[in-house]
Amino acid sequence: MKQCFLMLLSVLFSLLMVAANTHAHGVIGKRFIPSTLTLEDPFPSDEMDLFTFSRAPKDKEGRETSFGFEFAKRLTPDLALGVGWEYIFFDPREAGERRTSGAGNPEFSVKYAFLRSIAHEAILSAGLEVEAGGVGSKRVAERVTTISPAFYFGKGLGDLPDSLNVLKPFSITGSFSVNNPANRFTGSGDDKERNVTNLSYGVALLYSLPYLQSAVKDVGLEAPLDRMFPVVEFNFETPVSGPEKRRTTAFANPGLIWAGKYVELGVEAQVPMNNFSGKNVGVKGLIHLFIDDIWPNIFTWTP
Amino acid sequence: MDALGRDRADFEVNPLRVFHSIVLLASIITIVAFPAVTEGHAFPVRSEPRVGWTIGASPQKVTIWFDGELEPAFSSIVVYNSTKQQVDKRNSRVTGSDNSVLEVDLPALGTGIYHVYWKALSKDTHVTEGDFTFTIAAKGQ
Repeated sequence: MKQCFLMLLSVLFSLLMVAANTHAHGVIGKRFIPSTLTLEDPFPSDEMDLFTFSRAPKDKEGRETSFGFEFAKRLTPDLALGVGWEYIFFDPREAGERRTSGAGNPEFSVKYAFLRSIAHEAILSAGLEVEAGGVGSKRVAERVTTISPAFYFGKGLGDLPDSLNVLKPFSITGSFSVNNPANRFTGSGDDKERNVTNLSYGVALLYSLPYLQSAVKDVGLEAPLDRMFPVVEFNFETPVSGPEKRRTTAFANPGLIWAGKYVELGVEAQVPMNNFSGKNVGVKGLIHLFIDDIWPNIFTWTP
Repeated sequence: MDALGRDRADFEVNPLRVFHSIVLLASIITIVAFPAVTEGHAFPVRSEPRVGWTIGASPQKVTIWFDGELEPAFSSIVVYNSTKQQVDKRNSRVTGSDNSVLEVDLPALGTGIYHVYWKALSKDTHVTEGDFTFTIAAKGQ
């Protein structure tokens, strides 16, 4: 058994060590789509969220602040594995309750791009995300494991007719996932907790100033504007079971992304769109590294 | 409770201090990592004629400046007229002191819309490609 495991590891490692001549992060045809802060993007990539920050709006339970890290590595040009982790601070709404903090649960993901159209700047991907329940701190992390099959898409508008040139720099990405708890209930007695299935979905609309400059019309933008992407993301979560069934939380996340040659920086506001989503505005930040560009000899391995 | 009998639930961490520490750590990692940087995707920085512009006379060549070194054997420019006929002199080449400029010569061209297609292979084998148009118009138009 141990030998089989070692053999499997060595095969996996060998596959990783073979170099390929291919596109990588977020590039489809002449379109580059950066990683978005709220929704998972559709590209299997070699990339690292060196630092994510989120201070969510205050909801009925309190306010959550988190710092995170994520790493993804392609095994083939169309298949990537990822792992992410967060440290969470929680300020309860109720007076008398104390602020608490702790590690969240680790999240593992696999993503496969099953359709790419360079002419139409389009990509479709499917994935599976698993949050390993009970691994993180009991104070802030869910005790139940969640398994989420997901679907992702991305589409640039570069194939619009020339009369709509001004719209060509737009691209739309989106995701849809079903978050299934592995157990209906966790805990016992007074501590018993019902775990519900949620639908998570959303779209991101990006305007690429680099695309405008290099493919539509050079309007003379200088740094840093020439690498900027104004963005707005809309994300929703709808419970499909439990007492809060169909009470959808909804957020609009307008922001700015700057994508350099090796680093991407992003900031977004998180604006609740209904009463279930909280009251004040939250904020998110991202430092993202294109590790296949920074260390190409190490991270451009794919079979 | 931990091994020393302290209630870890009372243990408080200041989010602002953690934020500062993480930003500092991220900055250090970024600074340390970047001397090892070699290449990356090559994206266009500017071109001559400029993307989408109308000019009054035929240019002698099309030149695109990139933000990284190109592999000459697999990087090219092709220019077509509005009837999809190739009009460049088929001598696409990589130039510049750091091999980051791609250019192709043109014959004297008449008025009309011209389509430039480029493909670039960076030194670390990442491929990028794109296209744009420029227009030659008679002076005074």
